[in-house]
Amino acid sequence: MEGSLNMVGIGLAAIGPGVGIGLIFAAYINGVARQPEARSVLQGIAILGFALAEAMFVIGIGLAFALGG
Amino acid sequence: MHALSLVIAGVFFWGGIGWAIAQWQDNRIFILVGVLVGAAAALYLVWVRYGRS
Amino acid sequence: MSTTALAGSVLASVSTQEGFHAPGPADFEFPPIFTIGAFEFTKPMLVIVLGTLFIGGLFYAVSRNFALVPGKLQFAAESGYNFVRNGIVPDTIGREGYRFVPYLATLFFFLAVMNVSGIIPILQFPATSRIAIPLFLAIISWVIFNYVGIRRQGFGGYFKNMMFPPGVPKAIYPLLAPLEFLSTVIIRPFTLTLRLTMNMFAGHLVLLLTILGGEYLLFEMQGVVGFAAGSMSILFGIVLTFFEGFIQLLQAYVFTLLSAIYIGGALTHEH
Repeated sequence: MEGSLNMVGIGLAAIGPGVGIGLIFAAYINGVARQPEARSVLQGIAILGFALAEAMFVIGIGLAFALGG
Repeated sequence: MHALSLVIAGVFFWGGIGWAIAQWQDNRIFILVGVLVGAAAALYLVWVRYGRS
Repeated sequence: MSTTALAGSVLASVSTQEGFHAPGPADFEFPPIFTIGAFEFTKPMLVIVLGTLFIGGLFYAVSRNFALVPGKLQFAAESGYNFVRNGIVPDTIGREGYRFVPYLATLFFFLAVMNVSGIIPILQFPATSRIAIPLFLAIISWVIFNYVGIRRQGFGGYFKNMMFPPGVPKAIYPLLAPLEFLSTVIIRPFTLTLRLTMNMFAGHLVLLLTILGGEYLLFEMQGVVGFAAGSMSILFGIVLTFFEGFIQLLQAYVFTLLSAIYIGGALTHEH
């Protein structure tokens, strides 16, 4: 089986942000379900949280490419 | 976000101290000790500030 | 579409090699368009210059005749500006944040244009994927929020409020202080830079992979498999282009928002 450790690292780096983004949007859906008027306020916070959680995974991808393979 | 940056800061700070001690004592185990201490300290801090309600 | 432009430019490299030239970090280096002495003018610089001229020209054209009832161009520019002034600043800095709106609005528009140039047909290179631009913008934001914090709370007071936050048992102060200092002063600009750079880098890489890979599968490989896989790949590349546009605008928004949050945090620390 070929490949490099960088790719294994990318796969591992996807675990945390996957869980995190799932939790963020679960909270967003819950919030909108309880109070549909709050939708636009919560949407901004949800998108911000998504970007911050996704950033870690993307940093992992970038470093995997830049520092090796 | 702040919690994550605390963990990163802890690992690098105490890992760096561990690395300095390793250079001084010529024994690489201190790097690992430093990193573990840093991670534990940072996780404890996150628990103290954000975990208790 | 953009595929033909890309295909034309890399057909030489693809057809002179065995197999497929997988895109990698080397695809982010460009040969200079022209040289003046030791100064090489490359494609990222062209993107930056064109983007800056575009933003400057747009706002200059809008501000020449300010109408009380705005025409379409003025309305669009004002909407963008209001997004920063009324959307980002009041929630993060509050009333005294209005003197930072010029900086934050410039940041937002500059980053939006630099990012989106990754999917504009002929340019097709996000200038923010090279680390220098996000690095310097993060350094400027860092200097601003530290300077504002020190001026508001005094040099000692700023660091005291940062490293010894109230509401924490005093016994863990020696543990907390260096970590808080590192987290605020060193890691914040670091993550600002890396988040933006890596998002643009990964996005550009994925677009290159799907479109160039699809072109290779369509034209170089014989048989039905090549045709099916190639067209699927190019279709996926089109979908990803739109998704990439969303991510680019989102990253510009997040960079500006985080800068505003850090400035707000430095101005109104818990006291």
